[in-house]
Amino acid sequence: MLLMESIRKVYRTELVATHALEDLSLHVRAGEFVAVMGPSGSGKTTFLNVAGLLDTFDAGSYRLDGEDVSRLGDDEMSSIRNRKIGFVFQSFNLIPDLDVFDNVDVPLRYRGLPGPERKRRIESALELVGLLSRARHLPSQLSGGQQQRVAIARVLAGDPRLILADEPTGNLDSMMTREIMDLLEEINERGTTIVMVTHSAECAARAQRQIHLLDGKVVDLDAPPTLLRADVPAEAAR
Amino acid sequence: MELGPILRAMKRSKVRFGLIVLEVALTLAIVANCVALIREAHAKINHPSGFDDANLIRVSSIPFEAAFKEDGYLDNTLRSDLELLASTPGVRTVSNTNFLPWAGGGSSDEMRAQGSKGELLRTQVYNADERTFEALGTPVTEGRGFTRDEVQDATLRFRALGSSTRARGADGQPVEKFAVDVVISRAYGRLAFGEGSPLGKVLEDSDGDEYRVIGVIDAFYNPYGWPIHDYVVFYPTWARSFDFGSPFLVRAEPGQGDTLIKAMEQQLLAANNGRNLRIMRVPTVKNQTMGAQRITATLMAWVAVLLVLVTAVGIVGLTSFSVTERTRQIGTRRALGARRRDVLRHFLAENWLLTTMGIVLGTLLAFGINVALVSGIEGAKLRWPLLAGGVLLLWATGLLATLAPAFRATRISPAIATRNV
Amino acid sequence: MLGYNLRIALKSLRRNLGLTALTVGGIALGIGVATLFSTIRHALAKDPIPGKSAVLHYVRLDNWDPAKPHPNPAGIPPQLTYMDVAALLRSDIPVRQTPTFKANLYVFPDPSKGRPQRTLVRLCASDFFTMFETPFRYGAGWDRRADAQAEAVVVLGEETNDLLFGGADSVGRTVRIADRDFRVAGVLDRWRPSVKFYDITQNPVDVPEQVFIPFSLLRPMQVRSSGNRDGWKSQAAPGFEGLLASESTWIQMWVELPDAQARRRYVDYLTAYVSEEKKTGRFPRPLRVEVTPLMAWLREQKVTPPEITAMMVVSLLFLAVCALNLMGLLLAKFLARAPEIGVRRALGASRKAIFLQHVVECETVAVIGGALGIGLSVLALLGINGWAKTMINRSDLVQFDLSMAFLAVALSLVAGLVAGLYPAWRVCRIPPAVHLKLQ
Repeated sequence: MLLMESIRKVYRTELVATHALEDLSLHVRAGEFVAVMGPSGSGKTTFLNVAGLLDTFDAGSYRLDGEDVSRLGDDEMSSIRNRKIGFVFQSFNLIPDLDVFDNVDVPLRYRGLPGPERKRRIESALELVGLLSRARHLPSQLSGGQQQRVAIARVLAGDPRLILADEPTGNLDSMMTREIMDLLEEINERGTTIVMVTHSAECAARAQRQIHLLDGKVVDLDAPPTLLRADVPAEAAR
Repeated sequence: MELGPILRAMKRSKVRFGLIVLEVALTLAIVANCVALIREAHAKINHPSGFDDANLIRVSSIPFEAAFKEDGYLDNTLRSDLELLASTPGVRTVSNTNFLPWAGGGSSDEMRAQGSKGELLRTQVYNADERTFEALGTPVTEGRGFTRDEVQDATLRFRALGSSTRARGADGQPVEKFAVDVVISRAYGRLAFGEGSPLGKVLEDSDGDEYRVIGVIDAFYNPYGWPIHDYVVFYPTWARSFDFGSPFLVRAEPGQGDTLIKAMEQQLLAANNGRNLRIMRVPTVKNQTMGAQRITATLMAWVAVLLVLVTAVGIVGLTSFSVTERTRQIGTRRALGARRRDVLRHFLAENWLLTTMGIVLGTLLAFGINVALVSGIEGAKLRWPLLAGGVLLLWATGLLATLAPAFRATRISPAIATRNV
Repeated sequence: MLGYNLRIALKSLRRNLGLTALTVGGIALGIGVATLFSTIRHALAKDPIPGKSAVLHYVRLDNWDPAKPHPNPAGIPPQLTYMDVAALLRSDIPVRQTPTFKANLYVFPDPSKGRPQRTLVRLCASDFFTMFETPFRYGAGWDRRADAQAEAVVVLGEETNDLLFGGADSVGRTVRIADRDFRVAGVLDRWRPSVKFYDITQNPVDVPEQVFIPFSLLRPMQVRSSGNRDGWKSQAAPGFEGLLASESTWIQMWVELPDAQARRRYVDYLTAYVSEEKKTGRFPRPLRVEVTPLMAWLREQKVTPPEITAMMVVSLLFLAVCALNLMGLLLAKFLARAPEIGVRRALGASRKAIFLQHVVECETVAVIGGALGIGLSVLALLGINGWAKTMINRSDLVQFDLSMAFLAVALSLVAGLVAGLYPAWRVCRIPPAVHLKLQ
């Protein structure tokens, strides 16, 4: 599903060049639920940006769903994001001016689907996350958990092959976290590949596989986990 | 792209978007009315007179020496002045007439078709000699102009008429009618006689004196205090008096400069020093007559241009703010698959909607202002084609003003979405 | 607190100079345009002779054609015949009165000083100078005895006095005008009312004449008007005497009536006069006399063209657009500052304090803009006056005065308030500290 080989990403400012990803290779198979973990500054966000085609990279190759996406133009990347990838963000990223229905509608609009088809998809997605009755509410009228469920409905309505989740429960309390994780698991069971970036060991435990990033590289899974543990409390304080 | 969600989203920032709508509306209303006023003024300024305006020069000889109080002396000087001016190099034609194009006034009288018993119809009236129409540059298109003999004869008869009290009957009308041939404008002929050639027909004034039409000029326009700009009756005489002097209309060869004016002045004064000369180009006369109109029109134009600029700046400002404020939202949209051109389209559509709402409101406002503001100004009515022009202008302005901030929005990276505040 | 707010405001304005230039520039433009057009209209519409305008009245009688009214909108001739003026002068109801018209006459300077000058001369009664409060540099007007005896006395304008006498006190000296020698009674100081309010029958923004002589000289000197002359009936007798005996209207008549009672009496007097004349067959139209106060007369004659009023309204709307613009920019600016305001609120600033702080900032912008606007309008006025010189032949028509400066300041304060109230209200509603959490 997702095959990265020797990906390198360097951020350059006038003074310094930061190697955000250094020779990163990763393979996620279709239908997998993978958790990506790592301390702050380990390149998680950069990995997510590159994997989600939100950002370009400097070297290496990336195949997504069998398609080489290493060197694509902006429009092609937009189109792939729109059709194949669904995002779940830590801060939900709902559009505050739009109500729930219109928020879920956003990616479908860009796909240019006909109106009745969009309506059907939106309603079934909202049904699935249990928020159909809130279709005309604004995000500000919803709780955090509900907002994240809307964001997930937005993903579901697009029916992507891959879901990239960025700390999906980072802004939620434990009860809501469980709710969201249940939902993701359910989606995964239906065959959608999920790559989730997280700090939470509890969340990561619900994935089928954990990948650890450090200094822009995937580290050996057999390495001593002490490094990670030391970092977790500091980050969780956010 | 459908406008529904954009419209629904707008409701969240009513004031900010309302400002753009209101600005566009006021701008359209003001600009449309300004342009109506400007067009009105320009129509007056640029109305063709029918004359060779650019090459016309008015020369007035105004005597102070007592010798000029004698008719004979006046006549002789007039004749020699005409010859002198005609022989000046650069002069094409010279005529003695009290008609001065673009003076903003003149003299007028009332006449009607003889025997019509209808209302007397006001018209401009001026004297002309055998070269007046050639000097003005407006040809006698039907019939003929005056001959020198006719001018001389009529001058003597007018003088005789003016030097004694006319015998009048019990009805107050003169016992003996006075008759003279005249050249009139086509417009006045139509007014007095209706359609058809006025040639050979006779006008009468309140005394019943007769004016037989022997010639018609098609082109005549001289703005007057009353709406008689196109009406004129020319009668054959020489105009000269001690009090008001002798007015000449000189038609110069094209391209004559101030040297001609100097030459004419020197020659006339050399011939007779007992008078002063006032020489003025007709374009200068026009400039003074139309000055206030021109100033008004130009100032209006400036206000309209500045207003559109101010509104454009306002739209740029508010749209920029919109973009900054929605950076994250734009990043999210990009992450969800919006292409750059979708983002661009989003902002353009949003502003197009606002501009259009402003235009709808502005159209109503424009007519409201028009009724309240310019009802007292003749002809400055707002017309649909003009308003349509204003609508296009504002659409274009709105579009152009949105472009820069909207392009900035397209450069927002989708990776913004993964940044946590 | 105001000082503190002002300091914050100035600091905030310095922070983003580009935006500040935009906001201040926009409002300066609005104030400039609004002040400019208000000034232009004010020059034409203001009371040219405050304190006197209520008692000065313009007299009209309808001696026109029985078949139809005079073609002017008012339907009555704007001037009087000589016959009627001569008769009305016998009334002692007005405390002062003057018939008046202008003529083009030759003034003969000393031959060493130049050629004879064709000069606009105003014929008027001695009361003219007191009625219209003309400023004198030397001497004074002539007296009523000079009127009665048609003495050859003259009041010179300062330009003609400069030309004839090199600007010296010429009272008592002699100047030749047309066919006789005149004794100088007085010399006017510079007198340039924007509107030539005592005679608006032709160009109302013309400058006053430079020579004034007694009205009673018109007969012995046979002076014809160089202004408008309207008639409907041909002159029965020939020559100048024929003109004086005709129904031609060419003389303006002003009377000073101190109160409503005097005005009533004068109207009654005119009515009686016209009724009496009707018996001789004159005044064939329905009886109509008009005794119009100065300001009403100026308004009726549209001395302020509707275009000028329209321009002023347009300029005020222009200012409104600039204020809306300012509102938008300030709103954007203030809301972008929401986190800072959250901090201030968290630190104990009340809503009122936040509101006040931002209103002060708006007013600062508006007042700076207003000051620049005054500068802009003065510059524009200089340009327009210079340009108008070639068009309407005078460059002092529109003067910028203190009242206009006050207007500009008042307009800018109002604009600042209109533009600032909503944004200030909006930001003072920002809840405290909500933005702290996210930082």
